[in-house]
Amino acid sequence: MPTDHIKYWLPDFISGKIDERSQAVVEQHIRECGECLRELEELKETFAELAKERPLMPSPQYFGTILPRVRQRLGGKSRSIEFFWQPFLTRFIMPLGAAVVAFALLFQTSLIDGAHGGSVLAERPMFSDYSAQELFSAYLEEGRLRPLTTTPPSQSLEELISDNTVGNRIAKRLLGSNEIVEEGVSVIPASQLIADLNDRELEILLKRLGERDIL
Amino acid sequence: MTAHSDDELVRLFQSGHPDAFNELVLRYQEKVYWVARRFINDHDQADDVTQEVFFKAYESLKNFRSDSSLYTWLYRIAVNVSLNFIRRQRIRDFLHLDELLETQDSEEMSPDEILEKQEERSLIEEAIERLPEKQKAVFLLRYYDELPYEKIATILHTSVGGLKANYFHAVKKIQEYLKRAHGSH
Repeated sequence: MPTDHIKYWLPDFISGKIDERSQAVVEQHIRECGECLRELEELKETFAELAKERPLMPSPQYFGTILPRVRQRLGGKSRSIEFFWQPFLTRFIMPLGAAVVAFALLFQTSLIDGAHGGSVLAERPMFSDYSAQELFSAYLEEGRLRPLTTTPPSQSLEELISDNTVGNRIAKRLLGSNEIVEEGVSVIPASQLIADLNDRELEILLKRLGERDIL
Repeated sequence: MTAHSDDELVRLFQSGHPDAFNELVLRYQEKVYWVARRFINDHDQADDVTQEVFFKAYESLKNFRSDSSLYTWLYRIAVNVSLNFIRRQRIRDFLHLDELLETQDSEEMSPDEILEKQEERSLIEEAIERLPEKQKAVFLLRYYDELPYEKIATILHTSVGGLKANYFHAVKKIQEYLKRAHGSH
């Protein structure tokens, strides 16, 4: 067996988690391969440190509280979701209004459209002038007038972003204008609060943020 | 209610028995909590994730078809919810959302308490936190939960081939992190 393949067996060999036949193969190999023997010794030290690790345990009463809280959440589902969001209301949702603007600024391709003859550069400072509270209020108001929480099932996140529909509606509300340069503003739809993003949308967002590939 | 097998619990739940889900939660709450806790390294956040896992399980259990065991299915939900939590946190960190407002934690904790909390996180926890997602998942499920590779593959929706390499590389990265940390002291 190639050395590379043998070394992948070593962690389980140390933990005693391989079958007898494989164990014999590994033992035979490390008798003959100094490199793998050194690798084995180093791994043993690492496992010894891992074995010393003792995470802080939750209180003895903690596990008795999980079922009642899960039941509470399930029992008053619509109410509990509202209650569930309340602690996040001031912590995350308000600044998420600001996050929408941050994404708009991050992913704008061009805000000047000569053909339309209007510059929206002047609008950029206006976005940053709005506080998180004001952006959040605009988001709420937009949601009240036209539901934002239901994404049309036929539209993917990419389509919504390129469509600019939701971002522009918020921009209109903020600017008090029915006219706005349509192109160039690329935002995550306001309905897509970070907590609401599904796996695929998280992947897209993370890739956009320059994060490395995920699972 | 006498102890039922997992299959019986699913059948009872799907036929509307109200206590079946309670038994499921009691049976698996510790396992689910520790999956979340090892991914996230924070009790309060792991608690949030644990509840979210059982909430999702409740909503999906009516459609459970026994393609895998209930245990594996629940594990998969726990891993996915934990990973998604971490991903959302990365996005929040990128946006520095915590800097835009005063968090409840910082309001309630003194500077000494904040520092102490940071120091409580061990080198091992830091090393594991820095692992790439797949390596982290494989490492946590293999080392702490001692799951066979076949079950890990099912939970992570991946093939068995390569999991040993993932595990090896995860341990090596932890080893290197510890070496660097010890070397700097």
